[in-house]
Amino acid sequence: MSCMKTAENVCSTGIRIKDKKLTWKRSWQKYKYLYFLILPGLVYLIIFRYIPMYGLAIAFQDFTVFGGVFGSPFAGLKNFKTLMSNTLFWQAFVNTIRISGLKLIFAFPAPIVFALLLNEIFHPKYRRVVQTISYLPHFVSWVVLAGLLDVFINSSNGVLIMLLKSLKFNPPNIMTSNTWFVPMLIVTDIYKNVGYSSIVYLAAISSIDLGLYESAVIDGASRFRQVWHITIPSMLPIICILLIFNLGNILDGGFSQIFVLYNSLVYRTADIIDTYVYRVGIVSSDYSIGAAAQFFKSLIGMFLIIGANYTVRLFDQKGLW
Amino acid sequence: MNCNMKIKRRYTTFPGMVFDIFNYAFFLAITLSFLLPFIHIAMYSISDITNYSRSGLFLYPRGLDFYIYRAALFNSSRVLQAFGVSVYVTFFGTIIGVLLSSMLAYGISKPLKGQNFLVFIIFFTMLFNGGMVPTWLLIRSLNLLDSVWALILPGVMSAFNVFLLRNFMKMLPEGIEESVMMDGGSYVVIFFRIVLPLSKPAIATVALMTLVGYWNDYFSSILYIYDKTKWSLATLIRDMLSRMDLTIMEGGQVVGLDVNRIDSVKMRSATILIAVIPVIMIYPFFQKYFEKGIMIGAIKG
Repeated sequence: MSCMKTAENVCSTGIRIKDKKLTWKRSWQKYKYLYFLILPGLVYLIIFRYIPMYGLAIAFQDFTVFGGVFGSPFAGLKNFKTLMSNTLFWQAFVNTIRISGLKLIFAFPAPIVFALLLNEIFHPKYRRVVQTISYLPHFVSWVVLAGLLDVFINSSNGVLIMLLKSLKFNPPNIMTSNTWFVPMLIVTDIYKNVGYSSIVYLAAISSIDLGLYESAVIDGASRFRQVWHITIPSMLPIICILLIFNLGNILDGGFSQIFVLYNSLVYRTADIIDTYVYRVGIVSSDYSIGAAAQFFKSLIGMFLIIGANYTVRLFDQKGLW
Repeated sequence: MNCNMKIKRRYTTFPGMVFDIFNYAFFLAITLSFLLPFIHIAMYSISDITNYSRSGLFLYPRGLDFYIYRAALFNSSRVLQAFGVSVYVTFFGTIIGVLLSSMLAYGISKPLKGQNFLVFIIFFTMLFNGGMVPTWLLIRSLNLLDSVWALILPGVMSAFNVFLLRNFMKMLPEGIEESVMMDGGSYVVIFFRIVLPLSKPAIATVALMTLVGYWNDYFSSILYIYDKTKWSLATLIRDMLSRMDLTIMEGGQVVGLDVNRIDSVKMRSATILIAVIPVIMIYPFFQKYFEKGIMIGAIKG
């Protein structure tokens, strides 16, 4: 995204237009067909991204289906007041942050550790096979993983549960337990994404100059020291960028994962903003309240990502922009 | 990598060796944990129901019976229909998505007037979004509820993919484009004849991500489709999971399946595999490109 500032300088067919100022007219003459190429994508974004953004205006209306986005009466902050006084919304809000926070603590470093450890495997073939197989869960739907999970931890005949029972343990029913459901979410999230997310870290590692290791070895650095002083610092820029993304998504919590796994017994710990929006906004057709919750979420998310980017740049790392 | 290995190896100490042993074992365990669950249900789906219902099974089949696949694919209209919907949605969604994203990406990779503004418009969709409710209202007002296009359109393009493609296209050598231009070719010609073929790694990456996204999407059908015959395969599986016993009734008696050879475990195992296998089969075609593509997208992001 750094090009946003320097774009005008990196002209492709530079020399000729460099000294002339690029006016709309000249740009149109030169790039007419490019504008045609851009048009469909732009129209798509306007219809399917920007119109829904505008549609959030119903959060400030007493929306009725007949009135539509344009004809419904303005209601000010009424919907937000209703929302703020709703304990279920705050429960979802807190749950979202708790789940995302735990994912940030456990699931975010997991692929980094995975990449570091995998890099210590000396047989390229073994590494290759492990890597390829580890992508598998990422390409599989949460629905399928939920099905597999059921085969293993189903309280009546799950394989793992039977095993624990035969060892005289008394395993809880994870899917309905408010204590165990969230840890299960974290574990399954790691399971699904650890291999796939490690790709970028492994790429970062493989682009490190091997000379650095050689000189470290000559200076007597142990393997651990090499990792600590060379590998990890080299990965830092990409870690920062992904961290910004993750912080920006902290109000997401993982909708498609939770929606397929949760049930009314674990709403207390696992209901997140998105699932709340779905139940209120779509299922109960409380469009305005749902939109208010969504607006609240999107707004905070935007400030989080801007704030995170700002913080990262304070520490002299390259941010998203 | 190879010389990297030699350097490190020469200096391996005793604790280092212990670490290596644990590390190798650790990755073996991880790999198995990724594979075994799939093998396990695969065995359920091809075992004879009378054999495993008594004593269960573990990792190897008991008595072969492929009836379920024949039944699911040829007799049970539900699975076949959902499979068809998923294929349709995935196919058109991916093609349209890749085409629109790469055209847009190529456009903003050139220093045309308004470039900064366009980049901002695309980037802003990453920062802020309208979300579920307004999108649902939009689909409703476009009269797309209950249409498979409701499953396709909302997910066609993402800003992330556009930037990934743009970063890749920026790295292409400009000399070729200029020579085509000399010969009187327009940007459209350059795009389709040169830029698209040269951007294969990035396009394969975006295509794979879009394709997997569509194939695995179970929520859009819940949101937009009330007519269950138009559900995608993933949504059908979710339905089966939440209502185990009904599955047999709907998949079995109604359609005239042999209920003695099918139970809910088997039905689910088979359907899950039917959903997973196409992805696994398609993956090798993309594999050699997509790691490269992801690297570019992330590192230059």
